[in-house]
Amino acid sequence: MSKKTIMVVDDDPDLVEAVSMKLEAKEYKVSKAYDGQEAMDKIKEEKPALVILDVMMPRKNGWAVCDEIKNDDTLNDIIVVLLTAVGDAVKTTNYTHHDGKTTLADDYLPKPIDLDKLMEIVDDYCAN
Amino acid sequence: MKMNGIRLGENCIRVTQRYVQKDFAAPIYQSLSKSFTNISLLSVNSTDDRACISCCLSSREGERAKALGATVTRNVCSLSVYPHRSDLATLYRFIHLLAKKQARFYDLVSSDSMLTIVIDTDSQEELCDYLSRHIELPPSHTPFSQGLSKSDKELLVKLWPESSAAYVEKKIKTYGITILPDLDLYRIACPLDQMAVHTKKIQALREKDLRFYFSQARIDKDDQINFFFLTHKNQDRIKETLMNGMPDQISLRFKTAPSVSLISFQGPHFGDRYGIANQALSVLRKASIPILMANCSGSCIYIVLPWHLAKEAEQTLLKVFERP
Repeated sequence: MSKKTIMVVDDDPDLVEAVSMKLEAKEYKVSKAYDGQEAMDKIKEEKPALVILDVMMPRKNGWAVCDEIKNDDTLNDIIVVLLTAVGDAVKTTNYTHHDGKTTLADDYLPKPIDLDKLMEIVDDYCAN
Repeated sequence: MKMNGIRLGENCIRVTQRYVQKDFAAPIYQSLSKSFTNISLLSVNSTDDRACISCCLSSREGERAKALGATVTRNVCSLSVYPHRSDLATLYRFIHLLAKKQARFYDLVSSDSMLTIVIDTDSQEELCDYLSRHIELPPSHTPFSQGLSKSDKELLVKLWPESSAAYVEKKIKTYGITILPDLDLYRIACPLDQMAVHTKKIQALREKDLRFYFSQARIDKDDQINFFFLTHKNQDRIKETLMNGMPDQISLRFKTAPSVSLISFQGPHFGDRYGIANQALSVLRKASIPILMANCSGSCIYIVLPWHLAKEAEQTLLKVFERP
């Protein structure tokens, strides 16, 4: 079975490294990006199976990246897991509301993230 | 040298406190914490009798820092490259590049993935261009400034007040606390221009796949670089590789005897939230655990201690930090 590619997007390089090491230990192929624009460029090129996406980032925030992925027919089957400091404000697992817009993501995890929980989420989506 | 990116931190001042250890009263990070001042980067070095604390604050905090009796350098910024992957050849190559350019930096600190230097704002653009030319970066990367857009910041503060630089939890969350016991602390002290001539050593370090677990450096006023790094014990290959053909002006030695331990932990944006470095260092001071060196940058805190005190330090830190 080919290794699935997981993209980790966060403007905190220390967190990207910590998450990447966990994923690599589980034998996922990891791609990294450090702002929203860089993430979007790499997503189009690499078409990862799943994107772990921070919300508050320079150049383009996670809400906008998620919107672009989910509104693009060639990308919208990519699973998006948002890492958000406002996780408690999210009422369902499928939607979040930001500036009056509804953005579709597949899952959410509040920050500071539980790394083990994140690995469970990734494993679940990638197994399906 | 391949890197994933360059990150910039702008509009800072550098605040330093030098002290003779036996006369030491209140460290500056404690005073800054009392006045709710955020420290975005901190280094502590007590390996000499005359120790030094150095930190970066927002440029708005100049008067406050001066009032505390600290030395203030205005118009500084930070520049980080990442990830270093604990590769000693990468660390050496980065310092070599800076030395070759005769680029003066005030401090260098390592975190889990970043090597961060504090430099004059005037030199940032030129240095960023220079490093972009000499480091292999992904084509999609643009060096970016740390910080959020105004609207994102407003939203974050509204929904999550903790992020407005005040941590409201009883215990500060971490992703876990790591202890590396029984390490060697090396110190290289030499004129900056001598550091620039050791290109061959980088390749030798790379071939031997040598790791470092912590690094700190600074350039003194007389252009002398003091460069510290931690490795596993008895890495004679490091000494051999670095000392081979070294001019007499360079000294390389174990600084501490017999050895040291490193305790490190990571949390959500530790460097962006006021008081966290103080919580870590002050609780250790209160327990009379000596801090030989410390770095707080990015989202990490690293503390170098006498080797036998690591477990005690961990238990002490758990009074204020939470382990998942």
